[in-house]
Amino acid sequence: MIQHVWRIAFVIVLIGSGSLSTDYRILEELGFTNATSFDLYEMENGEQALKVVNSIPNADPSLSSPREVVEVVAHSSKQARMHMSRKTNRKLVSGQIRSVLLGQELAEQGLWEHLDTLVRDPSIGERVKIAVVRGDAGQLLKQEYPQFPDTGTYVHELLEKESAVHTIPDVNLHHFTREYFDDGIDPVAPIIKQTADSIEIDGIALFRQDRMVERIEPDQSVFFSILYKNFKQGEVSVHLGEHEHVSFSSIVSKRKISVRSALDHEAPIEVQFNVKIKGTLLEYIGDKAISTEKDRQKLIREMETFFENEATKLIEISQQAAADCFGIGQYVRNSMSAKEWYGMDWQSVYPNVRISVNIDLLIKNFGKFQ
Amino acid sequence: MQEKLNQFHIILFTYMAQSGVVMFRLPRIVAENFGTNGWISILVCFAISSFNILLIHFVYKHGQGQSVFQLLEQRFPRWILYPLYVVFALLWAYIGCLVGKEYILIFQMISFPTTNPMIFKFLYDYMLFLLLLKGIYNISKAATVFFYLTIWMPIILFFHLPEFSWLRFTPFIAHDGLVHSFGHWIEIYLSFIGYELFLFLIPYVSKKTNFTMALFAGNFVLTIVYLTICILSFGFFSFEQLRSLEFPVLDFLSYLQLPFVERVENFLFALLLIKVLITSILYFWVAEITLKRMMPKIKTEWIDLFLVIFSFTMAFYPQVIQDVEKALYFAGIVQLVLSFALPLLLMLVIALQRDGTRRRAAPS
Repeated sequence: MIQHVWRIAFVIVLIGSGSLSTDYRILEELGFTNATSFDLYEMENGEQALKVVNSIPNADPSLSSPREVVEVVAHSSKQARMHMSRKTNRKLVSGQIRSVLLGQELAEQGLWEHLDTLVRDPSIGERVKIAVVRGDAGQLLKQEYPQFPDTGTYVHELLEKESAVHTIPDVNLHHFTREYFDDGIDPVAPIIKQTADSIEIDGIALFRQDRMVERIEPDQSVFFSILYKNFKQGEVSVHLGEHEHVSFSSIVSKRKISVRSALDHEAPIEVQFNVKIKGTLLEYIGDKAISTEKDRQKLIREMETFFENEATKLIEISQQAAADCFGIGQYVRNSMSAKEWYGMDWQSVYPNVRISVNIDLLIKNFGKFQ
Repeated sequence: MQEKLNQFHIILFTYMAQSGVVMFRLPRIVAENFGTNGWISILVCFAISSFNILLIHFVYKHGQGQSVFQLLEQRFPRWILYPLYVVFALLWAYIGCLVGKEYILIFQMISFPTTNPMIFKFLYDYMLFLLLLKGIYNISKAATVFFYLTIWMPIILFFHLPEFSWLRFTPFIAHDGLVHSFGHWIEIYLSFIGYELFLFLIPYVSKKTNFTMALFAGNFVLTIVYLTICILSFGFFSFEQLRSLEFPVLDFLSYLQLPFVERVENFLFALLLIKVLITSILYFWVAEITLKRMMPKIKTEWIDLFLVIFSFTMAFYPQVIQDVEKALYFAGIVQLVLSFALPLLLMLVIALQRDGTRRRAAPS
């Protein structure tokens, strides 16, 4: 009997305490931000502030606009959220943010203090995409692109799709934070830009710590990807000569990095990239008769040299910027003792490391035609 | 006839009692203490706890099923023991309370930021009370059910294998860049304690049960779970990132994306309530039998009610997660000392008892 009394009391208490909770959410009253942008903003008194734009899709079919765009200037992202709240009839929540866009100027000045607040907030997921915008990120987000879904969704899907085919690295909040904190690798992020009627991928941003220091051209992105990590699925167009053009697709790439002379303190550290690339040749324009074995081998060697040259150029760019975007430091770190690694300033050593690239290319097939 | 605990129940109960909220910050704690290969320290703690279980084994083997209280009361006068009983009963109830409060504060942080956490604490204590009324055999059965409801969770962390890299482990072991302290070691070891309370379970164990093996097995399951979580975290997060995250396992779970749902960490964390409940309840149950020993005439229900009210009242003070962690740390140290001191003391009592028996048996 006593047990029954306790149980009934439990149910009453459960219902009663439910009514005491102040954290209730009513779906219709919430504004689910799906994309947010941060730009540097200079105020009239010369003080630097942050321009924040949020894109909030509208669920109410009676509204003419598919989304609500709110723009404010504040000193921090959380302050911006409070200011935004004054402008909208809905309660703003961050749980559905999919992409964070950062103006290039802000990226060049350093991102961490703005990302820190996103990492700290338990309502924001780790999978939020990060992208740098060439120009004004807020302007890009505010713009409507009639041929595409709402801008927040459009940006997110564009980044998702392009990272799946490795024309840009897949970078989300977790990846950026992880590489920012790792002493053997520097973060990267895709760059997008606004065109007249669409948004376009515009290369890859290289960071030193949290500051953007260099940009990789979009045409070089596949060569970046083969050095960046192992991947499957990708394609590239190669101009071997003025009248010779090859389209190489269904690429599967595997990289292996070996550190050769880390233990020799006198000579500079030597690092060798060995990359194995397999793929399908679906287009060839040129003088070679690719149906013959001799010309095929010749083409493969020329392509290998081309890939090696392009990869070397990228490595030189990253060394000049002292941005170890390929994570070479992780391999060097693992080749030496803790004392040697912590006694070394990797950032200043990296530009002087001798890095060579060896590409081993295999054309699995030449399509359905001889 | 009173039901007795069998081996399987004890294995799962040991694991459930040892693991708790600390699991969510364990990868950070081991990273802070032991560097990029901090997971190795889990193995060290496993070895120490196994040794401690060995001490409990001696008490079990030579104590002939006598309870801790029976053994102690043979040697020590009650005026020494009873104040100690009160102090430890309240300490255990306090540890049980803190374990719950820490869980609730984290739960509040991720799901109900402005709701008064004491509402949740009230419900938590209520559940605790209802379970406590059922007695140890039913508690262990509940622990078995709760085990099945939660044990699959570390497996879902394998979804993150594509993000895993052995490179982040580095060949460094306990490198110079870290501040080592005995306190950090204790912090890691505290994630193992809980098994020492099983000393009090000895009279309730079925004679057919291999009690020691069950404790070992429970401790082993715990070690496997901890190792899985730590190794996956060390490969998933970079070292400094891991050291900066308050609850790395929460971030780990929040990264999970299934084809039909994402951001499931809120749901998974809520489910872990039952795991924490078992840790709490073991401490409460030991507090209950300790007070009952002093006051056999008072109904167990009233003792339970007193303990739960005590726990609820004590939970008002620590309002910040860090304060709870600090309080748990100090209470844990006392518990840690007890986990070694009590079996040693009991072994001494048993040795003296045997000596006395032998003397009486020998012809004068």
